Amino acid sequence: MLAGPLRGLIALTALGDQAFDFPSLLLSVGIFLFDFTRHEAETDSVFQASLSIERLDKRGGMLYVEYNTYDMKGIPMKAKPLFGEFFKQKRIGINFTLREFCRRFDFDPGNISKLERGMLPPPESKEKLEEYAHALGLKKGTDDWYQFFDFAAASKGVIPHELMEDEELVKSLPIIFRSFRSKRVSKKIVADLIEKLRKT
Amino acid sequence: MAQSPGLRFFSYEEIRRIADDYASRHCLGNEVPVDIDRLVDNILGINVIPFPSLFRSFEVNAFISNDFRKIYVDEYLYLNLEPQYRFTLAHELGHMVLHSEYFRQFKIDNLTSYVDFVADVSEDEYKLIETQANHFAGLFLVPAAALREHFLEQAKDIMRFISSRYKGQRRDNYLGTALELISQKLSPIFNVYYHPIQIRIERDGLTELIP
Repeated sequence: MLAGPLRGLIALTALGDQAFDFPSLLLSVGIFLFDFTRHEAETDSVFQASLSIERLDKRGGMLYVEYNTYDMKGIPMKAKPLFGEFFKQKRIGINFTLREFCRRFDFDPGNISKLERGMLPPPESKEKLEEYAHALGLKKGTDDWYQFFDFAAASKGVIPHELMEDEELVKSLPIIFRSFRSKRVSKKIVADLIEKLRKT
Repeated sequence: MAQSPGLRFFSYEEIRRIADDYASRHCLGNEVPVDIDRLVDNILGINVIPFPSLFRSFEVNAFISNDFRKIYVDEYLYLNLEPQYRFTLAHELGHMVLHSEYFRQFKIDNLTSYVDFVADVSEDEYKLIETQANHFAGLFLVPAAALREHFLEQAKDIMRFISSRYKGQRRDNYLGTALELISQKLSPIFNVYYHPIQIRIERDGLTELIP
C-alpha cells in the first residue's frame, strides 16, 4: 500500500517504433490519480500531489510525482519501503529465505534485511543494483526488471528509516525479556537495547 | 496497566496438540527436517533480523518483537549455528502461538508501560513462559511419528555397539550413554542440536524401548 511522503515515478516509454505521444501521458496520469483515489478510500487518508515531467522527448520520459499522504487527523502517514517490499516479494517468489539468499549470493544478511525493511536506501551503484536484480532472478527487459530500477530511483527521494521511530520501536521490543541467567532486567538494559534496536 | 488474569498453564500434551495443529495448518506434513526458516520468513512473513552481538550485549540468543512481526537473532548464531538457529526460531514461534494472548492484554504502547511490564513479570512466570516455548520448539521440530521411526532405526545400531561395550552390565549403567548416542545420531536428521532431541525421546517414552 502506498503512503507518503514519497517521490513516486512513472516511466513513460515508447513501445517499439511507435513514438511517445501526449494522450498516453494523460492516460498514465489518469491511472495514477485513479489509483490514489482508491488508495484514499481504502485507507481513510488524504493525498496531496504535485506532478512534474522530466526528460520528456519523443521516445518517452519520466513523470515524477511528489506526494504526501495524511490520515484523517492530518498526521503524515509513514512511507512504505516500495523498493524493500518489492525486493522481499521477489526473494520469496524465488523461494529463498533471507538466510539462504544471502548465503547463496554472498550478501550481508543484516544489510539485505535493512534494505527490505526500508532502513537502508537502495544502493546508488547501477552495478550493485543489477547484481541484486540478477540474484532475484529478474530478467533484463522485463516489467519486473524495470519496476525494480524504478522503485530504486523513486526511493532516492525518500529518507530511509535508518533510525527506527519510537512507535515502531515499542512494537519491536521483546515479548519477554530476561538475560540468559534469568537476572531481572534493569531499565538501563532496556534503554541499551532500545538504542541498538533503533539501528538494527 | 490492565489487570492480568495470569499466564495460562499448558501441559506438555496440550502443547503437543497445539504444535501438531499448527504444523498441519501450515501443511508441513511429516517431512524432516521441518523447514522452520521458510515457514517463519516466507510463509508467515515475519522478518528474521540478524542482530550483531545480541548475546554478548544482552545474554539472549534471540527474541520475538511484541507485535510478532520480527524475530531478532544473534548474528553469530544466525550465520554459523544452524541447528541452534532453527531451535531458536521455533522457540520464538512458540511464544507467538502460545503467549500472544497473554502479552496483548497488557496493551503496551509506550516505553514506560513496557518497562513496567518487564519489571512486573515474576521469575516463575518467566520460567514457565520459556519452558512452554522450549516444549513447543522441541515438539514442532521433532514430531512424534518421525522421532519414533528414526529412533527405532538408529537405536538398533547404537544398541549393538553398547551391548559389545557394556556386556553383562546393568541397564542403568549404559542407559544415559545410549540415549545420548542415539540423540547425537538423530541430530542431523532433524537438524536440531542433540539435547532437545534427548528430551523429546524421554518425553515420548521411547527410552523404554532401549533394552
